[in-house]
Amino acid sequence: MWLLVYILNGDRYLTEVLEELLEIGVTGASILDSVGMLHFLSQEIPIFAGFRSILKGTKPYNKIVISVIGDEQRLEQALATIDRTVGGIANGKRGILFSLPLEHLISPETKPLPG
Amino acid sequence: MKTIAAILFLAVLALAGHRKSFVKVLPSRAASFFFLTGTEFLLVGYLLGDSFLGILDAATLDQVRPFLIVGLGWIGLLAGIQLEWKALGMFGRTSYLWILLYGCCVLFLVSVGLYGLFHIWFPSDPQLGLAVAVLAVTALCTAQASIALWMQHVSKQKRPLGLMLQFVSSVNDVIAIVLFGLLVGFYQPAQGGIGLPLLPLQKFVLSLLLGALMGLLLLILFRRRLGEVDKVLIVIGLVLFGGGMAYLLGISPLLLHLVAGMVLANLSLKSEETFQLLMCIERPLYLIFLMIAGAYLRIGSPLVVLLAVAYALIRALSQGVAGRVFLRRAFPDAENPPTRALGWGLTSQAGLGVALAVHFHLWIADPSSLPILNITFSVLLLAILLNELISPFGLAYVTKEK
Amino acid sequence: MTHLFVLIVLVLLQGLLLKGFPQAFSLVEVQLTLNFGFLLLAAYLFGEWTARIRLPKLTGYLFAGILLGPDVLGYFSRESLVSLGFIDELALAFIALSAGLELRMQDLRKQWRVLSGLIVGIPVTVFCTIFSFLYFALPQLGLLPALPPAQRWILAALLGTLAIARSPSSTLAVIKECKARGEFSESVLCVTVVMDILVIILFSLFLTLVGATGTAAVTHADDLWVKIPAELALSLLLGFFLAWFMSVYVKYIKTEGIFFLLCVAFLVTRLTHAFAGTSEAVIGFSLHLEPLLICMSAGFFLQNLFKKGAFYETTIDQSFLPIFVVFFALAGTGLSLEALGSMWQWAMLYAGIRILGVFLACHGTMRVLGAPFRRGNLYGMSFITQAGVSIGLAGLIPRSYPEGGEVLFTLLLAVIVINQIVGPIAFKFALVKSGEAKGVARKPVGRSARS
Repeated sequence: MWLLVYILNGDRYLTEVLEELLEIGVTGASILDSVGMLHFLSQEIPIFAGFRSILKGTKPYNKIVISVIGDEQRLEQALATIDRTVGGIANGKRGILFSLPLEHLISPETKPLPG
Repeated sequence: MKTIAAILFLAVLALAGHRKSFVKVLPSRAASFFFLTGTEFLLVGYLLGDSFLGILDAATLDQVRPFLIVGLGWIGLLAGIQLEWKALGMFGRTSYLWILLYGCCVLFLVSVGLYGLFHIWFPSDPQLGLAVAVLAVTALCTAQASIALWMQHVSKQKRPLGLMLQFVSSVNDVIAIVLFGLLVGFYQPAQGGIGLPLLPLQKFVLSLLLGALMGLLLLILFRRRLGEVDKVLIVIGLVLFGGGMAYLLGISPLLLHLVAGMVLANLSLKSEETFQLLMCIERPLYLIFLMIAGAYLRIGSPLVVLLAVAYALIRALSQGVAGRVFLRRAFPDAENPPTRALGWGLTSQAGLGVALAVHFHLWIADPSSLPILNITFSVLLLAILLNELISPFGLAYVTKEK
Repeated sequence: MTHLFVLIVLVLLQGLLLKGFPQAFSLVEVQLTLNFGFLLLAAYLFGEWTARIRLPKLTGYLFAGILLGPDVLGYFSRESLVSLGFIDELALAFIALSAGLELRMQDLRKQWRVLSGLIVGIPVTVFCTIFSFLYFALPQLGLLPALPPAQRWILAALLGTLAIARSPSSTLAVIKECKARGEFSESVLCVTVVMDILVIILFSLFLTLVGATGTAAVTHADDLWVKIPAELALSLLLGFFLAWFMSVYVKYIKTEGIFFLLCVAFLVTRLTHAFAGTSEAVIGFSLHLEPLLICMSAGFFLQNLFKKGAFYETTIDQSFLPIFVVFFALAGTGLSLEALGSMWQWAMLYAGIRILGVFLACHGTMRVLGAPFRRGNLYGMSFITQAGVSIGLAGLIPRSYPEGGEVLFTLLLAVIVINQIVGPIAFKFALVKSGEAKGVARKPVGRSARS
């Protein structure tokens, strides 16, 4: 079991990524709002859009997609799909992508823990 | 070849400039401050223009006119899309009322002062009123980038002051766009059969209606789920269309797209995405505006310099007086009531001021028009430069520790 | 419905403005903003609509261009389209670069047999079919004035060569729209690109022969032997340097890709214009560098030699839509309905014979290679498109054959209109059938999520 985490820079490719994941059979994922450290610390200085920064402050800007994936093959597929969909994470400004092995999972679909 | 070289040069400068400017570096007061808000590109443009190097000559500048029209539409949309009623309601109505009164006061004082001054040199010029009105309306603009940059030096207690200043300048920017939209209607372009033969107020209403229509079109198109490239295409297409239409009808693309942006901001769930998309090119666009405005600048006679200095002084004084009377009451709920001198903090004039200057040049002050309008344009630009130099002193005064 | 509503509003608005300010539409400010924006949006909306009825979007863009262009509704006059010409050139540079980037040697090497088979088979077969049709049948039909055999021979050869030309831009547009990826789409694109270059060389060769037979109005015909190889070599060389420059940009800067690409496209188109004038002054005859070839080879070198293609592929992917929309809508405005109207029977016959030639070639090649019959059909459907280069080359014919050249030119234009409309539709069909069109057969996401 694996946890796939993709922190998108902005939300430009969010819809496309989710669609592609669905396409390869990853049917569940959660999307969280987040703010990068530098973005949070630095003060954006807009030129024509000052209102937005005053009224909305440092808005959550990035999106995090997390998904639990059962088998390694699908994980590999998901990693490759995301990378391809956003046009190569190595090309910069497209966020970071990683996965972690999961030890425990309790969800409506899993059996309850013994005891 | 010259056009190619000039346009490439512009593109490279804009790219390089937007990387260097606006970054969070702690500047060492006034001089370096000037170089961080991007205003130095006005000087770069002036050097590139016909007055010195001649790279951005008249022929080249003619060729970039369509780009500038689109740029104005883009800025209008960007300005409009941030005006979401729900968010605007965070500040009380009284704040808006006092800021509005402040704006009216600045307008009145600057108009009176400049009318007296211009009357000395252009006593019976038919465009005297228009020239003064343009300068008075642009006097409302304040560069928020300057305020934000300055606020990075001050102590934490003084930071709320920066927000107040930014808020005042944001409201005034919107007022300036609306009033400028009205002003544009007073001028009937002489060139190539453009401009509707309507009364200024009728043109103003037309801009609002067309803006709403453009906004609705955007809204309808954005209702479906779209890919990134589709959104880019729709926004570019509508800004091109709206900008061209505004030019043809002799109305303001800034106002038209401001309304379109407002419609989108208040009726669509996708305004945030659109906002991010528009923001992508805000800085390179602004720097190109600065350079082109600089290239249009003509400091032919000492009169221009004199009028610019006088305009900057009258504006700063009016802001000081109006601020003293009205701005203090605009923030009744503030923890630390702002100083009476709040108006001095608003002297920097770049940002929207530059966009309005370019707008003025494109719509009204073409070289064929009366000298007073050409002089007005140069006075405005020169004053923007001056104001950028004096604004650190104003801000220092406002934020000084007791 | 929503698209139709927006389209109607835009068309009405533009119509009102055209009626109210007829003079103002001659201003560049209006042409490059209002007209450009209108064309972009209208064509885009048309494309979305054609996608709904499972036709390629590019067919929609073309139809928008035809419908709004000077021949039908007249929203764009021929004069007002001139100022949009440079946008067309920029778009072509982008498309050529993108086509070059799509050609990956490592993938192409795997299917070298198919590729070389098609690259030899199609030109030979198509050339022979069209050549024999024109040489033997056409004079009997009385469409052209009688020519001496030598000239008839060369004319038939010229037209036979033209029939080989494909449209890399249409091919690429359909591939991108369908998000197709795989051996089939890659091989089609590669063959299309190679044949485009081949056509330019062969056509110039035959045009030289026209000069040699002594009746033509072509000047400097002898120079063509020097000129054409020199132009090709220089274009390729420039492409190489461009690719090197672009790879350096990726290495050290790697940001603001779209701005950079715009600058590059602008530079290439302007430089090629400037070069023609300069070479005329220096060496006595003008060398026309081919922006298409420069950009295509730059893309190819970037991808395969400098290995920095990924950055530009992503950049182009983010911006291809406006480029394709404008390019094909403008192409649509240039398609001559008048030509089609006046010679549709001949054009249908001509196009039919050309398509027959293509199918024969593809089936023959597949048979030799032992591939299934179906494969031949798929390839046959993929090589019908024809556009820009063909129109440009066809335009040279009236100059070489003052007598009857105009009639031929009209006929060729009509054929190109047919191929340009039929070609992409057939190619999209072939892509879907080949199973490589990922972006087409997809079910709506909402539905699959629920199921």
